[in-house]
Amino acid sequence: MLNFKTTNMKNIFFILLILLSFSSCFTEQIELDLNEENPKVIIVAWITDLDEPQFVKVSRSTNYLGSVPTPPISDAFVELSNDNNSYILTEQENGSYYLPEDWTAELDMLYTLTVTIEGISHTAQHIMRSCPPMEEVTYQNYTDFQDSLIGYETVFSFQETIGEGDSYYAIDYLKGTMAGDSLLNGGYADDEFIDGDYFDDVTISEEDRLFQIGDTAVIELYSIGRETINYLYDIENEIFRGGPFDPPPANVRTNFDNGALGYFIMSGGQQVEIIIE
Amino acid sequence: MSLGNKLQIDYGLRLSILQNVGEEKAILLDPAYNPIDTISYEAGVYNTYWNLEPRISMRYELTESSSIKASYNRTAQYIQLASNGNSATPFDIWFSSSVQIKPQLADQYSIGYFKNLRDNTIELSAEIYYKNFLNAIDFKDHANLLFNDHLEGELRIGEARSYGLELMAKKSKGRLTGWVSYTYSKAEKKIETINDENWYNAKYDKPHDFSLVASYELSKRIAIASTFVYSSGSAVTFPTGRYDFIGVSVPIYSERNGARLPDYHRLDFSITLQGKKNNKRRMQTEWVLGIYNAYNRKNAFAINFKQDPENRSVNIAEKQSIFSIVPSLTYNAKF
Repeated sequence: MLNFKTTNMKNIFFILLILLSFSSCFTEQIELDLNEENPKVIIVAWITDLDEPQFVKVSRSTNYLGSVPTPPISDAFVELSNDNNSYILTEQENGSYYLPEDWTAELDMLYTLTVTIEGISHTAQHIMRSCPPMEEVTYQNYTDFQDSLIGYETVFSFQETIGEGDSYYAIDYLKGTMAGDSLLNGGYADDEFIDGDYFDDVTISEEDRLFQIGDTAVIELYSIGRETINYLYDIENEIFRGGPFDPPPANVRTNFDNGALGYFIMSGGQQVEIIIE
Repeated sequence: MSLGNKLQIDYGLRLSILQNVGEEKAILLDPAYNPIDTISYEAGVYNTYWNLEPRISMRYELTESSSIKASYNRTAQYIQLASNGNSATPFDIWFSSSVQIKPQLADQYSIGYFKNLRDNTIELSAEIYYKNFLNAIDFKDHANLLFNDHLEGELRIGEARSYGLELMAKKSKGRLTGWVSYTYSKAEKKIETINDENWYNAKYDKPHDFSLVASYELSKRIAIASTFVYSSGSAVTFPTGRYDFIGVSVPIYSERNGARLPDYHRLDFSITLQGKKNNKRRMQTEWVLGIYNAYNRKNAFAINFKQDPENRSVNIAEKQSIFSIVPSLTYNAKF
C-alpha cells in the first residue's frame, strides 16, 4: 500500500507540473444579463454654504452594466427645512431641483430634506457643521521618483473643530474644469484620535492632476460629519473591489428612508483660489 | 441492533465539550455588536460548551436486492468558516467557538432507497436529506476585515439549512465500469441584519450537480476513461443597478449571493497503456495519456466589474478563468 501511495504522489506532482506549464489565467470581457428589476429612487444632495447654485438631483437607478444614464424624476416635491425656515426647491433641469437664490445657510442647524414622489415621501436629516477656515494656503514642488520637478501641489492647514464627530472632505482642481465634481479627486479624514488638533500641511493633489505655472488652483474644504464619511468609505469599498480583504458586497448606506438610495449632506465649506507663479 | 432479519438499527450518543482556556483578552459586545468592554480572563478555563450528539440510522430490507435506509443525527461544530465571498481570492477565516460565537448545531435527516440489479452489477440509489443549522455565522454588510483585531464583531449569527435529492447509478463490475450521479440541492442562510433577514443562498449553494464517470477496458493492457462534470455556478453577489454620486458610479446589489457564476462543465479523457505483465519484474509500469477540459471550456473562476477603459462612465464585466485544455502524459511505476 505504501508503494501505491508513493506512486500517486509522484503522479500528482507530475500532473501539476504539466498543468502549470500549460495553463495560465484568462481574462475576457463578457456580457451578463444583470438588468435591474425594480429601479430605486435615487436622491443625491450635497448642499453647502458656498455662494453657488445649490441643488438636489432626483432620479431612478439604471442597469449596472452599459451606458444607459439614470433616468431623472420630474415633478417631485422637494423641500429643505430646519426649525426656522423651509424652502421649496424648483425643478430647473430634468430631475435637478434648485434652492431659491435668496436662501441663507444656517450653520450648526439640523436640516431635513423631504422628497415626495408619487405620494411617497423620502426624508433624510443632516447637521450643517461650520467649516474651519483654511490657513497658510500655498503650493509646493512635486517631484517624481527621479527627483525631477513635474508640477506643483497645493498645501493648506486648518484648526480642527474641538469635539469628536467631525469629518472633512477636501478637493483641489484647476479653475474652470469639472475635476472638482469627482469624488475620486477628493480626500477625506475624520477626527478620531486627532480631535482638536491642528491639521498641518494637508495635500490632496495627485500625480495625474498636478498644477503648472500660470494655473489657478481652487481648493475646497467641507465639514461633513462622521456619519457621512462612513458613506464615502462605503462607496470607496464598492468601487475599488477586488482585494482579498474587501467587505462582502453590500449596498452603500443611505440616510433616506422609505426605500430611496443616495445621500443627503449639508456642509459648511471653504473655498480658496491660488495662482501658481 | 437487528430486529428480525429485515430491520437493522444502529444508534449512538456522543458528548462533545469545548473549553476556552485563558489567559485571554476578549472584547464584550452589546446586542447591537458594539464593543462595550474588554474582559481579561485569567489562566484556566473561562468558558465551556457541551453538547449531546445523538445519532440513529436504520436499514430495512425490502427484498434481497433492495432496501430503505433512514438516519438522523445531530452534530456540534466548534469551528466555523466565514467568507467575504465573490473575489478571486476570498478571505476565508475559521472562527473557533467563543463566548460570543456559540457552537453550530446541525440536525440532519435523510431517507433513501437502494436497489441492486443484475446480480449486484448495478447499484441504484435515491436519497433525500434535510439539514438544519443553528448558530450559523456570516460576515455582516460593510464588515471591516483589514487591520481589525476583533473580527468576531464583524460576524452576524443566524440559522442555515440545506436539503436535496441525490440520485446515483453505479456499475462496478465488468469491462465497463463507472457511475452516473445527479444531485439537486439547496444551501441557504438566514442571518440577522444580512439580506433584510431573508433567506439567501450560501456561498456553496450549487443546485445542480451532475457527473458521469466511465472507464472501459479495451484489452488487458489498454483502458480508456472519461469524466464529464456539470454543476451550477457558485452563488455570488452581483450589482444589478447603479447611480451616480459626484462623478462615481455606485453599485446597487439585489440580494446577497443572488446571482451565479456561469455553469461549470468539463470533459476529461484518458487512455492507459500498461507495460507488459511479467511476474519476474518487480516494477510494473504504465503510461497515461490524458486530456483535461477536452472541449476547452473557459469555466469562470471569478467575475469582476470595472470601468470600461475607453469610456469611464460605462461599467463592464470581466470573466477570469483558469485551466484551458490541458494535455498530460503520465508515467507510473509501481515497485
